[in-house]
Amino acid sequence: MSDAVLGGLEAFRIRFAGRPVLVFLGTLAVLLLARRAFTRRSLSRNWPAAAEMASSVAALVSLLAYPSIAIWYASDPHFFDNAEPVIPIVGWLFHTGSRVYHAVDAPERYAHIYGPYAFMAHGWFLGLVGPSIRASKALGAAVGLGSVAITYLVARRHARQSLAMVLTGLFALLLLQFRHYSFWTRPEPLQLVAVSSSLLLATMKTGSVAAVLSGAAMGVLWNLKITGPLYTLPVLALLQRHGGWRHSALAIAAAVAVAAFPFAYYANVSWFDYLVWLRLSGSTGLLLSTLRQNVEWALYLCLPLVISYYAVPRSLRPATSTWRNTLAALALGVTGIVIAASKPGAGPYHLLPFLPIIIYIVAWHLADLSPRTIVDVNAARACVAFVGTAVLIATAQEGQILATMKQRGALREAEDIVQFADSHPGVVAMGYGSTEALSLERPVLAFRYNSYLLDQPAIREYQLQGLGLPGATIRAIAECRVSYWLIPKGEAPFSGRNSYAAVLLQPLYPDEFRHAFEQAHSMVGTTRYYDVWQCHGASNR
Amino acid sequence: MPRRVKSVTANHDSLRRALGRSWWVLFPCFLVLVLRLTVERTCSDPYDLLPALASNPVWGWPIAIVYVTSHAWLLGVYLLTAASVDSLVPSRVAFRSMWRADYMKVLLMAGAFLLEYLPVTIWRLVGTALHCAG
Repeated sequence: MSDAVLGGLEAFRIRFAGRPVLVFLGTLAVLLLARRAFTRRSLSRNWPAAAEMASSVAALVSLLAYPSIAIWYASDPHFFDNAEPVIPIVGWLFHTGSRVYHAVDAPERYAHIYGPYAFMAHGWFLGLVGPSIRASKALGAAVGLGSVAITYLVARRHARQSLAMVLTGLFALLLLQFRHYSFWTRPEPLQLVAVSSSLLLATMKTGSVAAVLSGAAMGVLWNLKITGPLYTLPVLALLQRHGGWRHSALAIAAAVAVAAFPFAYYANVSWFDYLVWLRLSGSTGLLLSTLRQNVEWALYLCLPLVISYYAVPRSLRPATSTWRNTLAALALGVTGIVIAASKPGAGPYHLLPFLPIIIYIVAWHLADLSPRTIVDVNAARACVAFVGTAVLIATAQEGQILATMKQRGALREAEDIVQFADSHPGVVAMGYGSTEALSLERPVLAFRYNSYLLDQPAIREYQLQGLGLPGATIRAIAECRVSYWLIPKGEAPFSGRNSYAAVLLQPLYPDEFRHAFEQAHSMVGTTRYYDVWQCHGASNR
Repeated sequence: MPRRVKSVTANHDSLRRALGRSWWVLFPCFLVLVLRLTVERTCSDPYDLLPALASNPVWGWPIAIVYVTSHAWLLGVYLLTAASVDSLVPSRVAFRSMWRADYMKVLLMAGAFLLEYLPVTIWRLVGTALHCAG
């Protein structure tokens, strides 16, 4: 892809990727004008065919593109997002026996509000195959791809094979609108696979065992994020209608057991500390601009439900109480997430786990749809505009990944870091300058020394919550807990500033911290990408 | 009338009445919020709206609930109207005949939404003209 095309896509992404309803209405208007100009007479006859063609082609391309992009991303040992490295790092620390959630006044600064399974999954996997960035990214990609396969099986509950394939392709297309969030190292791929599995199991006809297994999958979901139960409301509605209250009770009991397991079983997973971090995070309020974006995304992602409902003749539409309850539960869950995901740092990607459920309901609506029988011309038009919007936004989002990873892929920081660590005794850790891209390879060092003191994304969150760096952290710096800090070349150590609106541009590290660092360290050399700061201890200077 | 059709119609009627009544609570709150947001977009930072209120959970969550419920209200109006005429895109006549005496409520709520969703650029231009844009 040429730089000019990528530049154009980036301009579109910045301006419109957060406004899907606006893009949808714009696309619809353009389509109507274009069709009116060229084929006035055959307009009403051609729209259903155009809708089927657009959906099928977009689905086919997405079914090829999604795995290609996921595997390509996983094969590159660089991260795109600065919040990705902490997941495999804390996962590995969990594997080696360190705490997943440290105390508020501990010297370490890496605790996040994701549930333990988000980290434990990586810990178990890295323990099995050996710790590396590629392995952690491979887990994200494998789980993301798994969710696509399971969503196909979910769609097959109602739809014939070809329709289920198209719906699965559209599911992949919708995932691609959220850049790499469905196959990165953070909890979203695990959420997708958990929700699609619980849905698949809830719609099985094998009775109590399926209900318990569905509940177990829900338990994983509940544990991954505190908002987990909201995603499972439609699944619980389905379970209740399929197997009565007994099945629902069994599923809920299994979910509670699975969700509570890490806290009950592992000494290094503290329920108390998890709650402390959650409470602190809840104190930050919300962003109204993010709330509006969430509302718009929720409306856009639910559009297929309305379009597919009116695409079939009235006599073929579902009208059972199961269907109504599932929709009501979905509406309730989406509403809750729209509000909860308005916290600073959250956003519309929190709606991702609803996608398998939406695909399931769309398959339900279209179950008896024969080819070329879309009855409502408006539904066909809306379908074309919806698919067009998804293609535009997904292309722009993937363009950004492509452009960024192309640059990052040319760097060889990991080799540089390993070469330095091999030739120097003592603990080497990744520090931060004014930018973050060169610090994304920090898992390499955390895997090597089984320790991790400072996670800048966590520090950024804590500052938003009004939590400064504790004395224990400053002491750990001054007392040489880390022998060598690698700071991105040419940048002042720990000079980053906060990007959250409420604390915008405030220094992430207080003067006291920076003073302690300068007192205890001096720059002793450089590598290809980093300045090396060695700790001599404050008392030795 | 078949029993199922009768029960669906009764459901729709009760939903329509519920939406009509809830308007009295929802609309004034939403209108005040939208007007305040409009002032913010015109004269302050359009991307960090009501920071003092929103960052305080005591105010932030109720504001979010009013905002989201108002969207749900308008969505409910659309869905009921679409169901009544069995079309994805109901005409204005369909809205008028569905909502009868409550039609003005629908129009006023739609007006508030129009205000909320006007492009920020317009408000910035207004802010510049009023010499209040920060």
